[in-house]
Amino acid sequence: MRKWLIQMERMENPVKRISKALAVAVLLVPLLCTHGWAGNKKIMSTRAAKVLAERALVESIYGLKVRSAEEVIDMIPSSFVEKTETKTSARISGIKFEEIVYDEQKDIAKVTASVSLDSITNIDGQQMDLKNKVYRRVAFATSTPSQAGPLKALRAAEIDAYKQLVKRVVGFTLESQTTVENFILKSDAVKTKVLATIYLAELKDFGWDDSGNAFVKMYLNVKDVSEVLGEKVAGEDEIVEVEGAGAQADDFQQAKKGKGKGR
Amino acid sequence: MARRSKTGIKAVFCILCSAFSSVLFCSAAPAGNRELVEDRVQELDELNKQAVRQVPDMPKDGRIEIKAKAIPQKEGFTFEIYEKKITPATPVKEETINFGGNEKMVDPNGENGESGKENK
Repeated sequence: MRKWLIQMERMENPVKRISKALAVAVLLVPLLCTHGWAGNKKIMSTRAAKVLAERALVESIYGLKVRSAEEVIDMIPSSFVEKTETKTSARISGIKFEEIVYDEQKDIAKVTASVSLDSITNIDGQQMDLKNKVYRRVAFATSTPSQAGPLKALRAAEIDAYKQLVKRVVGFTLESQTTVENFILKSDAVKTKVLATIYLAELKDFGWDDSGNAFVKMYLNVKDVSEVLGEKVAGEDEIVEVEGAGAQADDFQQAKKGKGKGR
Repeated sequence: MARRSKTGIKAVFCILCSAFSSVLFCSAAPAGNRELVEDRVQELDELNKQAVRQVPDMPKDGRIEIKAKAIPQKEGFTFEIYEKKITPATPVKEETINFGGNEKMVDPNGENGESGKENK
């Protein structure tokens, strides 16, 4: 009987040992892995943020081309389609990185870059006398895809802000079909289009609200643009300020996927 | 002894379950774009109505199609309509309709055309 009990105890020990080892592994592996990858991620995220800060300065000073179209049918939000593309390509030397911040827990790098130029030829080929004014932009980057949500929302808000600035400074085209009943208007289909370049747009403020949506406030001092170009620009006395918005998720796409699965 | 091993396995299972469930429930889902899209749709509706109201010969009932250039002003936009198409609605007559008897159709070919002949 005693031998039998000892034999039983020996058989159960491997199971106990495996269970203990598994519990320890579950607790330790995440800690070890995080610590092991932090160095490489920090370098990658910081480098990416620097590049994005340089891009932001190019967009601000040299300028960018903005092409956008939005369309809605019967004023139903789920039918709303919007697409904005931006493009720029330039080389600016003398960019300084004033501040580099890295959040190790979230793996997010924040870089503030600035540059001061005497003059530059902008995206439209116009010579601009910048008088060594300091331009400053901020950019974020991450090497961890799960942390990218707020940063993508911020970029979406930036692009939305550029588009709105173009609409407010240059204008846009509108095409629509409208039904009239007893002189009451009902919009059936509305489409807007924008295609223009914009430069000297400056960042005023940015952030995220409680729900995680990002906002970016940009402004364009039209008087400055006139002085820099050396020619009068329409709306000279104005400072045009806009606010762009960006979200982390597409509610309507998710709803459509849900409907599709249900069928 | 068998009970102790079962208890050990249950304990490990509980640890794993609690670890995974804490990850699932603690992460808050980010907000989507619903509100932003609804606001934008509202803006587009108002812009369109503002543009259409500038059409001079707007019918009481019908359909209006326009293409316009929005010109920024200090506050808002003015619209320069460069293409428009107005389709007034066909008016509806309110009359009594009687069934029975002959009702002559209007002959599109004219009075002496073949389709106007009656069968004897």
